[in-house]
Order: sequence, then C-alpha cells, then structure tokens
Amino acid sequence: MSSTCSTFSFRSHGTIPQEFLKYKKQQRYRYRARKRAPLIQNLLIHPPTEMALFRNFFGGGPADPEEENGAELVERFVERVETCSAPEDRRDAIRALRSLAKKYRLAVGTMGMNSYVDILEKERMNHEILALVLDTLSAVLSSDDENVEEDELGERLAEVMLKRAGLVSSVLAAIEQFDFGVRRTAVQLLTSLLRHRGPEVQASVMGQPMGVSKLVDIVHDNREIIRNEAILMLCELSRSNAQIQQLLAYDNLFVLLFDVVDTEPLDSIVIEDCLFVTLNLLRKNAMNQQLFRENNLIARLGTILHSFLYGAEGETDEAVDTGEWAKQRTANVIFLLQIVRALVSPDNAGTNTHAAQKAIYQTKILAELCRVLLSEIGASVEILTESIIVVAESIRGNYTNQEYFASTTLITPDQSTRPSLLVLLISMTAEKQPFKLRCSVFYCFLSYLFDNEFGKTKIIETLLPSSQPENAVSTGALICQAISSSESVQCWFGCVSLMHCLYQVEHLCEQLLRVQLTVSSEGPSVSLLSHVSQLLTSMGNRRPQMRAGVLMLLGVWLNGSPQAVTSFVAKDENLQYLTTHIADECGEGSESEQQAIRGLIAFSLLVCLKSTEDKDARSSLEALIERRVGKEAVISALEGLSRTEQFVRAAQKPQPLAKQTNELFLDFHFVKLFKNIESSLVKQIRPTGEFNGTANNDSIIQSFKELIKRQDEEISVLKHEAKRAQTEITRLQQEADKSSLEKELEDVRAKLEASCSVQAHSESVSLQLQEAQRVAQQWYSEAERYKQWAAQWQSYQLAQIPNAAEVGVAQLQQQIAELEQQLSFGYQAFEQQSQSIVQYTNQNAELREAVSKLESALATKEREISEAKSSVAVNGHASNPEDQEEVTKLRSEQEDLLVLLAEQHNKMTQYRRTLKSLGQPVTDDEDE
Amino acid sequence: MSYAYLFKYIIIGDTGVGKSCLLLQFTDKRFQPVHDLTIGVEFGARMVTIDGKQIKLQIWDTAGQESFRSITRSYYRGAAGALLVYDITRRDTFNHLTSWLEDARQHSNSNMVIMLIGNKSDLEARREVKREEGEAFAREHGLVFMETSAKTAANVEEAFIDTAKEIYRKIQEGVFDINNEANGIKLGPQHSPSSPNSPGGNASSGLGGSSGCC
Repeated sequence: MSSTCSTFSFRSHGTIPQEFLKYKKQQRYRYRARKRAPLIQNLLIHPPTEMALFRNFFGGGPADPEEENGAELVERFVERVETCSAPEDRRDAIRALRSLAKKYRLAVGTMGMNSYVDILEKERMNHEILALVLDTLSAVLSSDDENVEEDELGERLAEVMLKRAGLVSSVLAAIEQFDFGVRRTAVQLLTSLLRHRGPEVQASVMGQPMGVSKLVDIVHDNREIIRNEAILMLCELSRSNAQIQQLLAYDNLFVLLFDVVDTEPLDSIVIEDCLFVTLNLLRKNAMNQQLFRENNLIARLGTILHSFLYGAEGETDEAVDTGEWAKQRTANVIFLLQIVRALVSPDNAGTNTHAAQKAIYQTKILAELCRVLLSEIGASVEILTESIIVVAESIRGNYTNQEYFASTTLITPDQSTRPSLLVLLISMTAEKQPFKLRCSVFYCFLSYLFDNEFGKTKIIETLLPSSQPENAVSTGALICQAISSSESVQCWFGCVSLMHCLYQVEHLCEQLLRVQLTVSSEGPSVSLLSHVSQLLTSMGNRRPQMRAGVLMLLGVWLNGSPQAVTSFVAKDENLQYLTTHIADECGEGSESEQQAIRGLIAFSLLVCLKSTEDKDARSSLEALIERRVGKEAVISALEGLSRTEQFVRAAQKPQPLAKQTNELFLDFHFVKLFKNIESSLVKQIRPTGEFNGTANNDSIIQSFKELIKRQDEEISVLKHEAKRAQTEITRLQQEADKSSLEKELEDVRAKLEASCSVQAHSESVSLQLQEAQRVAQQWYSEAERYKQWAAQWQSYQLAQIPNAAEVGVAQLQQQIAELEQQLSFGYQAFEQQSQSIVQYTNQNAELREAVSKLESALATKEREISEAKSSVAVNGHASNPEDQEEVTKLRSEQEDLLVLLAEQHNKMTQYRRTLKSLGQPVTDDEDE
Repeated sequence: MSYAYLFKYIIIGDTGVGKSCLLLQFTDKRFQPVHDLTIGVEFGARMVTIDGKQIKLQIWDTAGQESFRSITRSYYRGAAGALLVYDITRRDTFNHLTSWLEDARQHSNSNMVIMLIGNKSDLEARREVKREEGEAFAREHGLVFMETSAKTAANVEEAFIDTAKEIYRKIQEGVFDINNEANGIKLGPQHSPSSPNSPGGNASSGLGGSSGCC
C-alpha cells in the first residue's frame, strides 16, 4: 500500500501559539494598557501646577519615597479632600490621590474610601471630580503586574468597595451620565469590579431596575472609546451567569455586537471582544442558542465568517493566505469558529444541536468550512484545526450533514478529485502533520461515522474483494494501512477508526471477516482478523498504546459477531496470549496503562465466552479461563479498567483530548460500550455474586441521582434550617446583648448599692466621728475644768501656806484702807456740792421774785402808755408841740403803713383771682 | 421563514397562574399538567398571520415568584406587548394585579399593549373571581380583557393574536417607532438590507499535490 497522498496543507509560521486563549488574554491586557495611555498622558499634561507641586514632594521624580511617607502623603490629601471647602482645592487633592493610586494602592484605596463614596453619591453633577474619583478607584483596583489573575490586593480592595451599600448603583448612575470622562471612567471601574468580584457585582447589577438594559445602551454610544470600553465591560458581565446572559440577549446584544463587527477592520481587537461576549452568551445557554437561531443570526454569522476568510466584499477575489494574516485576524476567525461550535456542541441539549446543525447546513456555513478544509486557502494550522473540529461537530449524528461532507471533494493538481474522507484519513496517517491537526481529523472522521450506518457500511465495503477498484486508494485501505503502521499513535487511530465502523452494527462485524489482506507481495493473503490478532500477539508486553487500540477493536468486533469469536478462539496462541498477559505486571507503560491493558484483555476473554454459542465449546472455554487465570482474577482485572485515569479521561468527551500522542489510550464510545455490558460479562461467570464494577451504570447513576436528589433536599432543608438558625442566633445574640447589658446594669446597680452602703457607713462613721469629737471636746472642757480646779486647788493649797495668806490679807487690808479713804473724800465732795446747791436755789428764788416785780412794773408802764395815747387822741392836736411833731411823724408813718396795707390787699386779691382762674379752690374766708 | 414584523411579548403575573402553560399551549398546542417552576425566564416563538402579513411572535415567559421580580422587571422595557395573567380560582392573584400593572407601567415603554388574562376558565366550579370583576378592572386601567384556559386551549390563540393585532394597529397608526428595537418590534428580513450572500464558488484548485510528502 503506497502512501502518496495529499493532505491538508497549512503554512507554518514561526511559532504556533499553543494556548490561544492565554495569548488572547495577554493581548487583551496589553491592549487595555494601550488604550489607557492617552488618559495617563492627559493627566500628566493637564494639571501642570499640581504636578509640579508633586515633583517637589518627591524630590524630582524617580526617587521613590518610602511606603510610609507615601501613606502619610495620602493621608494628607485625603484630609484635604475631607476638609477643604474650596472646590478647586478638593479637586486638586483628588487629582493628587489619583496620581498616587498606582503606587500606593492600599493607602489610596482604603484611606479615602469614605470621601470617594460620598462624592459618588452626592456630587453627581460635578463631572470633573466625579471622573477623577472613578478613575482613582479603578486605578487602585488594577495592578500593573503581568500576572493579573492573582491580584489579591485588587480583590480585597474590590471587596471593601462592594461592602459600601449603593456603590454599584452610584457607578451605574455615573455610567448613565453623558459626560465623556465620567462615563468612560465609570465603565472602567465597573469592569474592574466585575473582574475581581464577578458574581457579586452581577447580582447587584441585576438588582438595579433596568441595570442590564442601561449597560447595553452604552454600546450605542457613538464615541468609539466608550463603546469599546463598554464591550470590554460586557466581556466580564457576560461570564457564567445564565440569567444575565439571557437578559443581554433579550436586549438585542447579539445584533449590536455584530453591527460593531461589521464596522471594524478585520484585524481589529474590538471584533475579538465582541465575539468573546457572543461566545459567552451562547456557550451552554440553551435559551440564548434558541434565540440566536430564531433571529436568523446563524446566517449573519455565515456572512461574517465569509468576509473574514475571503476579505471584505469586492476587496479581492483570490483566496487569502491565512499564514500572512495579522495575528489578530487569525484570533478573530478562531473566535468565529468557536461560536459556531458552541451552537453545535455535543454538550448542548440534543434538539438545540440538531436545529443548529440544520441551520449551519442551510446557511452554507458547512460548505464554507469544508472549503477551508479542502481548498488551497493555506489556512494556518490553528484555523485549520479549529475548522475541522467545527465541521466534526456540525456533522456529528446528522445524516444530511454527514453525507454532504462525504460528498465534498478536493481537486488535486492533476485534476483528479479526492473525497473529503480520504483527505481526512490521509492527514491522519501522515506523521508529519502536527498532532493537534491529526487529532482533529480523527475526531472529524469519528463524527462522520457517529450514528451513520450507511457511512460505516460504505467504508467496510471498500475493503471487500468485490468492490475494490484497482489501484485506487480507498478509505478502508487507508485504515488498514494505519493499523499496520509501526507508528504507535497511527495504529491506535486506525484501530479506533475501524472499531467505530463496527460499533453497534453487527452485520458489518460479520462482513469484515471476509476481508483478506496481502501483507507482502509474495506471501499468501491472510484474513484481517488473523492479521490483527497476530499483531497483538507479536507485541508481547510492549507498546501499550498499540495494544490498547487493537484490544478495543477486537473487543467490539468479537462482541458483535459470534463467528468472529469462533475463528479467534480457534487459534490457540490468541487464547494463550490473553490468558498469560492478563496477569502480566511488568510490561511496558505506566502502571495505570498496564492496569487498563489487563482490563481490556479480561474484556476480550469474557466477550469470547459470551459470544460462544456452542455449549461444549463454551464450557471448555470457561474451564480454561478458570484453570489458567481464575474467575476472580478475570473479574478483578475487568473491574480494574474503570479505575484507571485513562478510562476516566476518555469517558469525558467524544472529542479526544490529548496534548501528546501517548495520552490517547481508550476511546469514548468503547468506554460507553464497556459500561453497558460489564455487568452481563461478569454475571456469566459469577451468576450470583455481587457486582461492584462501574457497570450497572444506570442503576448506579440512578442511585446516585436519587442520592443527589436526597442530598439536594437535605441541603435545602439544612439551608432553610441554617437560615432559621441564623436568625435565631442573631435574635439570641441580641437577647444575649440585652441580657449582658442587663447584667451590666445589675452589676452597676450592685456597685451603686455597695457604694451607697459604704457611703452610709462612712456617714455613720463621720457621725460617730463628730460624736467622738464632741465627746472629745467635752473631755477637753472637763479637762479644762479639772485644770481650773487643779489651779484653784493649787492656789488654795498655796493659800494654806501661812506666809502667803498673811501677805494676801495685808494686801487686802491695805486695799480696804485705800478704798475707805477714797470713800471719805467722796463724802466730803458730796457735802460741799449739797451746800452749793442750796445756795444756788436761794439765789434762784430771789431772782424769780425780782422778775415778777419787774413784770408788774412793766404792765403798769404799758397801761400808762395806752392811757397816755388815748388822752393824746382825745386832746386833739398838738397839745404839745413836741407831741404834735411826734404825732405827725407817727401819722405819716401810719399812712405809709395803710398805703402798704392797701397795696398788700390788692396783691392778695389779685393772687386769689389768679389762683381761682387756675382752678385752685379758694376758701370763703380767704376770699374776704 | 421570513416575516414582516417581529413582536416581543412578555407574560407576567403571580406564580402558578399558568403563564408557562399558556405559552406551551400557544407554541406547541399541548398542555402539561405538571410544570416545573420557571427559573428566571423562558422563551418561545410562533408565527401568526395578521392582515395577510406574517408576524413572528417571540414570547418571554417570566417567573412569577417574588424572588425573580427584579429579573422580570428587566424584561419590560424591550417588549411590545404583555400578557398580564391571573388565576380565576385564586382571588389573591387578582388582588396582586395592581402591583404588577404598576411595575409594568413604570418599567415599560408607554405604548406597550397589555392584555389582561383570567386563566383557568375551565375550573368554573372553583371560580373565585367573577368575569365581571376582570372586565371592570380592565376597563378601569385601559386593558384588553379575556378569560382563557391553557388546558382546553379556549381563547389562548385569541389572547396572543389579539395582542398582536393591537400592536399592529398601533404600528399602522404610527404610534410605535418601528426602527427602535428597544420597543420590542423589529422589521422582518425582507425589509432590511440583503440577506447573506452565499459564498461564491471561487475556490481555487485543490492543494493535495502541494504536500506530497507523507
């Protein structure tokens, strides 16, 4: 069998990024940094004065102050933000904090938190400050480290921010503002928050009325920078929350994103972001997949894919060499392919996948992809690999698509055509092809066979003598060639491919027995079955991967055909091989691989037993197994298979997952078959015994399901209880708080009482003290008295002394004498005074007598005068010239007096009148 | 399938009034007596003909439980029509209509057509809310009213189609801005620019020979 063949061609360029997503992530951050650059410059240029001030602080730039100094600095600015009343000063302080935010993330983030939250809530109309605060917060959250995944500080700071109630709604309110700076920084902040605490932020966005809708609205913003920031934010918002994903889809995000894709150049990273969001919305979200189809978006996806593969319409008619595409364009195509794949993934609900497969066929996406596989686009290996996988999942289990795929052909330079299946197998068997590509091709071939009996039959038929055209390479031949290959993984690919042709189609197992191979040009032809079994026995205990492949093929084949068993068992060396190597523990390969091999051998043995219909043959085979191996050993080998890592890995996905060739060991569908028949295999040699393998899978799964259900219920009950207990605890705590308060109160009261009693005690003591003092005073006075008495007693005692008394008496007698003398003097004086008093009294009487005498003399004289006067008047004038003269004088005097009297009278009447006129009462007699 | 218009509907109302069953009856023409609680939202679609025009109805069936209320609210804005459903055998579901209506009016666009549906009309024996009460409520708040049974399919078609007719009438009157998809109305593909062109057959020659090395 020659192997001249065409295969997929791809241009290899330099290095092939192994992990596209990783690459993408790095790029994403790089991209973000690029976009941020103008902002930072802006900040540096815009406020020259503040920055100058700053440079002074830092002593001219690069000289970094200590972290502590930084914290102090930050504290000072925070204080300024809190206390300054002039808006400019506060703004400048915040600006300063913004410039410190990167360097002192912790300090800037925590110290100023109160002010930031305050400003976000209360100063919504002050755009400049608002934008600065938002920018500061997001600067604090993002680290410059390349290792963005593990930014613990950012995560903690985000947690602190989210503890502030209303922060998310403040940010959303800021996003609603049209101001460029505010909206952009607010979106960036939301992105950072989502990056650190996704689920929490998603939940609070959902909690806001129309929160999600408003966020979708900013994709409409015609300022490109904001639109792009919004898309970056949606990348985070759309992660792994089905409800948000549905809401985003409901708000027409698919269409919006595709509209953006249409306007961007093919190598724009914005496209990648758009597609990333789309992929998030579709992956494992059945409702969104349905909506995507309903809205005819698969067709639109096809148009976009076409323009990516061939350039925009009218640009060029020639196929583009993808090897020379910008990396970003390649990445964009990969994302487009992954979106298609998300729609048809075997992980989806069957109806969804089937409907999507149909749409992908109808919208000609399948044709497009087949063309990528088969024409000379020269796709890069990543694009080719991804396309093959998408084709695989697009045709898997869908007969129309499978047939369409098989009908496509590659036109070789010599104008002959080559069916796509052949191209697949040729690539699979080409050692030079990258392993990743061979794996995808293999998967595509298996997907073609899946649930496709007609396809399987056609492949087996190419091996049958009757239908074999001369000199043509057939699919069957290529498979057999692969099985015979000395390359381990190629043999494995071949065996598993052929196994899939036989899988669940018994008549093909019989058919395959007719196949004869000519191994060498001279030797006789041998049957395929004996060729395969010879291959097995010849390997001994080497080459575990090849043996695994062959044993799986044999297992399925023997399981499907009693006839095959008969011819297999007929050869002694076959049974010999199986019964010896089932116990071999020192073959090639890892321990787990050997365990898997032993399990596969046990499987083959038991399948042989099961498919032997002749009773005698059957019992002799059973006896042979019992004698050479032992029933229990066979069973334990069989059960061991499901415990190997190879088994677990293979059971996960229909797509073979392997980075290296030797990781391919067991096949997904073989594992399925094994699980199905394991218990029946065991039962035939241990009819009553207990079975504890994987099998009984359904019942086990059922029991697990029930267990899970029960546990679920239990969990919900427990949750409920926990909730209740929680409330109980809080209640109790409150109570406890209360009771502790009460206790405290009690304590205080007790103390109070104690101190009261102490006080009372002290009062009584002080009373006692006073009493005591009083008593003491009494005692003192008493003592004083006694002292006096003692003194008196002393003086008395002194007086008792005779000399002393004589002296005293003498003194006293002398005193008495003196006093008597004085008294006599007194008497003398008294005598003299009484004498003078008598004298004075006599004088007084004499004087009185003289006075009365004089008085009577005066009266007579007066009488004489009046008599004289009247006589004068009677005598008329001038009896006496002297008298005359005197009389005239008196008369003139009298007249003067009369005139005066008259005048007086007039005045008085006048006054009276005046008084009257003034209303003063004037008595009658006064009136006279 | 091409269509002239696409209308977005939502179905709202208390939990257990039969919202999901109404949708299932309308889209699949079947009744499922035991239905799980709707989590968040579910989605269904059907084509109807009004005035000779094909109209696609996309219907979002929301969860009635209080805990999903904030999610449900987010769906009001983008809808052109709403079916507000209560259960005629449960008075409380009727009593809650005011709060649902308030919610809807507050979060939706003002032109949204609201149809009041009294569901479970087959359970006449257990009726707690009189037909007249429903009518009065609808009259008072300017809604269209109908009693339906998702079980017997009575009036189910009518409920959805009459809502569509009302929306269509409003479009004809120019009340709706059909170019703004946020209103829940979208023009069909034949109105919009060309459908995707199928990739032309400009494939170059096969490449098999170029790597004859394996």
